[in-house]
Amino acid sequence: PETAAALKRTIEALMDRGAIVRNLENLGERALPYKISAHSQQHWRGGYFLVDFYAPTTTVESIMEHLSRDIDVIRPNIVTHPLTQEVKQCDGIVPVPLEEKLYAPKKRK
Amino acid sequence: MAAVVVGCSGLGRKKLTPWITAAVCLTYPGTQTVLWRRGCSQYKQVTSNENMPVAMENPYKEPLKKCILCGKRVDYKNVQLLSQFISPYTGCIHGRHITGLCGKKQKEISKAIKRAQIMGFMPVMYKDPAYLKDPKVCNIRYRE
Repeated sequence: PETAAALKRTIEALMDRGAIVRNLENLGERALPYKISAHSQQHWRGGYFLVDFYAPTTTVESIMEHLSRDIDVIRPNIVTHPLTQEVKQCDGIVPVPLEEKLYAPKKRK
Repeated sequence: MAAVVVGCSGLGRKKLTPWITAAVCLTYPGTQTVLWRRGCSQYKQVTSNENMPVAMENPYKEPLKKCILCGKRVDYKNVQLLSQFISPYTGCIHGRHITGLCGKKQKEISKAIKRAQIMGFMPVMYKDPAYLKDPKVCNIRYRE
């Protein structure tokens, strides 16, 4: 209903700015962890949606501005896709010899 | 096999006096590798046996200890994992000495927690009551 219309609006706005939408996920509707007041209204419940999209970096600001003007969107956030970052090789906790820890490195201003 | 290090310094303690040096004598039953070095003149070892220790990296080296999150990806979306590292009473993030994570993972976890809190995934001032019964991961002891 209204949420579907709001989603449609946001995706169209994204595509207008030249973003290629990959995927849209619904993380469910649940009670917010804290009361959020946005656009002179207080919200207790909200639906969480996750949109994957490719977009040029210059349009990020315009997208954020557009989303903040939308009343239906409580909290807009844009984040770099976590799957694009590789998991770095982690060998483990390297034991630091205690002699180095004895004398703290001299702090230089 | 007994190793005895003898250090004889005639003058002063700070400077290693060059004309009397320390000697390491290993008494191994069977081989004679007793070396006493005295005097400025350095003379090579008379006997270089095949029994001398060969330089190699430690064959009994154990693999480095890994933290509980080593090699796993940390996401800001799984609130359950993130709330295991905060206090249930105040909601403050536990330090490295409590969680026992390595440097990178601790940083990633704290960044993800702040992200989730700001985005509205995770409560800030307390722990989500649904996740209070999680198994304890951190090294913390609460007052009863």
